[in-house]
Amino acid sequence: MRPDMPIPSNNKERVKIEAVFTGVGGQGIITMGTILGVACSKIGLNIITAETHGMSQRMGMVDFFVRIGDVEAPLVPQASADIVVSLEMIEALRSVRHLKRCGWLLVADIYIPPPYVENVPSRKDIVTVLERLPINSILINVEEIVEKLNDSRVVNMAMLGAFMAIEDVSKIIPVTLVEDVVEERLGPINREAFGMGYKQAVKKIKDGDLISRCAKTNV
Amino acid sequence: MPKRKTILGEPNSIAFLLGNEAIARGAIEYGIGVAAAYPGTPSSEIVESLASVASDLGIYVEWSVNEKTAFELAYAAAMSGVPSLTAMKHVGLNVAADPLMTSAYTGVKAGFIIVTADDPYMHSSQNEQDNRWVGLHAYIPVLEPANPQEAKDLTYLGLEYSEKLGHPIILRSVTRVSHARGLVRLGPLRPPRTVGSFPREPQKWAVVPAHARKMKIDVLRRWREIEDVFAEFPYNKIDDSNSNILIVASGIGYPYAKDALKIVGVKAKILKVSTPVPLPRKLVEKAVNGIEKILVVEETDPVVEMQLKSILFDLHIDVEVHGADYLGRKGELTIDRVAEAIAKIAGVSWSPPKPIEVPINVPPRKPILCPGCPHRATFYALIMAARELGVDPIYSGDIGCYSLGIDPPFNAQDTITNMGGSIGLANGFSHTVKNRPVVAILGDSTFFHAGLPPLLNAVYNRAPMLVLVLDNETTAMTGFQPHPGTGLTAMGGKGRKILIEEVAKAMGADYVDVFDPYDVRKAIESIKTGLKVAMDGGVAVLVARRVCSLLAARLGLARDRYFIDSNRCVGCSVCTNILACPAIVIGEDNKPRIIESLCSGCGVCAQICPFQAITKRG
Repeated sequence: MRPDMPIPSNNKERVKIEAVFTGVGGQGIITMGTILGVACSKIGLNIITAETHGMSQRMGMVDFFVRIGDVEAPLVPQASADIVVSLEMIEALRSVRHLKRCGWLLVADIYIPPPYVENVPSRKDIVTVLERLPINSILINVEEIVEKLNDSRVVNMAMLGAFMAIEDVSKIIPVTLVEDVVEERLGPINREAFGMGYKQAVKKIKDGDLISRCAKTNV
Repeated sequence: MPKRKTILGEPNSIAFLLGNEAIARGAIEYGIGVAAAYPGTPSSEIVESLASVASDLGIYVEWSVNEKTAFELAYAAAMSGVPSLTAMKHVGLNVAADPLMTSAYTGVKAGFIIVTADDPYMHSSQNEQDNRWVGLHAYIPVLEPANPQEAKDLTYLGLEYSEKLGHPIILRSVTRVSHARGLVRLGPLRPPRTVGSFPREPQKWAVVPAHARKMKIDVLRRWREIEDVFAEFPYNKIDDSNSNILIVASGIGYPYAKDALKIVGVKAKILKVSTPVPLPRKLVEKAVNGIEKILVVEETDPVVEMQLKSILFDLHIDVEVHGADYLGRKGELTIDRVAEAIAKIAGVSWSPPKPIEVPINVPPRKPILCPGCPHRATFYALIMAARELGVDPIYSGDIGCYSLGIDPPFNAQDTITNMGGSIGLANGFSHTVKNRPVVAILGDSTFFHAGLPPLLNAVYNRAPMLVLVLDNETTAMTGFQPHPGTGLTAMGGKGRKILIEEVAKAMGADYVDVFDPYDVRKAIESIKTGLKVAMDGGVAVLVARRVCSLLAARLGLARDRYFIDSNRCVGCSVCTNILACPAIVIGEDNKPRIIESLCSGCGVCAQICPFQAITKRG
């Protein structure tokens, strides 16, 4: 038999989400994409992701591209991401180049200055800059989640939870489905982190507790 | 190492697979009995995945010492009727080029697929060679998948066509196929064929000139046959459209072209090419009917474009052809690059959206040696030893994590060209630069891969040098694969453990020693002795042995933590300026402190602090 059967694509023609997950090598960014991909595979929703290995893992910056729905190629076009999730504050600044106007930037309050580099912006500098950008940005208090769960490795799942709080995402990928995949693959602590990240982001969006808000959106 | 058993999913189910896992799946769906490789980004996960299921399937999978050996092993399997796969990064194919060039002459009995994972943009490589040229050069056809699903499907078909044609086949992947993940519909698994036979047929397998001349005639005949067969290849297709513009898109060029056409809002006919070498003439003839302009979209070099122009010339078809002139021939394709080229050929105006400007300087974050990396300790000792002897060595570097020694504060990789090139180039420098000692710096896996012949040459031809082998007891950069020095095999079995120092002694090196880079004073003394041997005209081999700190952390071996006593610290900056461990940062009082969550407990900083201000916790 020729292995050339097509993928079912019930949603494929109708939706498109462009996202970039970013942070520092070793933070578990690829795992976020794998969880999302497995969830999409269960509902036959097209997803393609791209990552880099090797040299870039040694505490360097990591950009992980996620494209969902009516897409073919693996890389998000310039300044076109609907959503950027950054697991680190300085990388959040760098990742703004991927974001379209009025796109969502979800930033973990984790701050890892690159070693032996001068003029590194502080947490406060970063928030001040983000405040003025034409985007919607939220600071997720992940340090609090890490502390509550007493596990520093849950940052990635907390931020995947925050990603799922964006309505354009949750209307095509059920939050409970992703939650179940998190538990199945990574256990109950990660499920809890996912849930906490999700709830925090949902609340901040609902309360309008954003760093910056884009004029064009109706949040 | 993570288990990758997802590749054993049920037939007809959909799995979310890395392109490399999909290649592995395609190979086991065909029923390969043998796979062999040497790791290299972006190819490593192919054989890593196969190794993780080898025992379940009863197939033989190994990490070979280099690509040539891996190639030969898989080649012989296919000669004996066992279908096989070998995989390597693009530059690895250079190492395997000798048997590869002849494999087209002999052909094979069972399916034989050679996977080359090319690395455009050089994410983790020294060049961005396009290995589709190798296909043209060696008379070996090349398949080029567009995504993970095709990576699986073309691996399967490549093996099938290889067996049918009795000819090896190259599968050319690129980073954005090998390291893309996507949904893959799985096919059924055929039982593997693991046992071969080998009737005596030297006229077929022994390429003496009399045989080779006959074989060349046969190769040329097969090459024409392959071109005809490829004209009907099921993954080549024409997406018709009422347009006088044709886009010829090879491999990953196809998805970029599809997305780019949508963004620009242009209609064009597309010839999707999955068989870039040889480009089938009949397919081109069919596609160019009624076409006025052609844009070739392919990643890296104009391999399809040049063949296309040659075919059009022979057919007396005069159309405008663009490709590398619009798209360039460096780096990776992007949707934007392809969209700009499409807009240009269609005569419409389009430019990508401008990124939002961030009004602050964002500091770079380059890859660095990890906290506790034994290589950092060795580089520190090397710099100190040279300083204490008052010499300025040439640091002939190599491919691996230790390439990062090129950066400050060490600046200790003066050349980096190819695997084993550290000792190879040192052979040359030692004969031409007489007033400076030459230090060849390479890793354990690299030593076994390509360090042995140039070391033997140095000893034999009397090329004075210090060979410093940074032995972190694994192939760290590509994901901790075993090698002869570990004594473990790909399938988790026990092999024979080979010690680098024993090899060096057997080769006749003048001085051989082993030190622990975490013991700083001993390390400096050992390197000073090695440098003196080299300056006296000898060949010294030093093995700096200490397990990779990432691997140590994974194995639960790194439990100690250090801290800086701020009362003793005077802020002299020796730990930050000369050692530069990323776990040490300068605090607000301008004194260093250790981030204990990053500290791996190597204790090197405590040994070098002139004021004994750094101590172990607890």
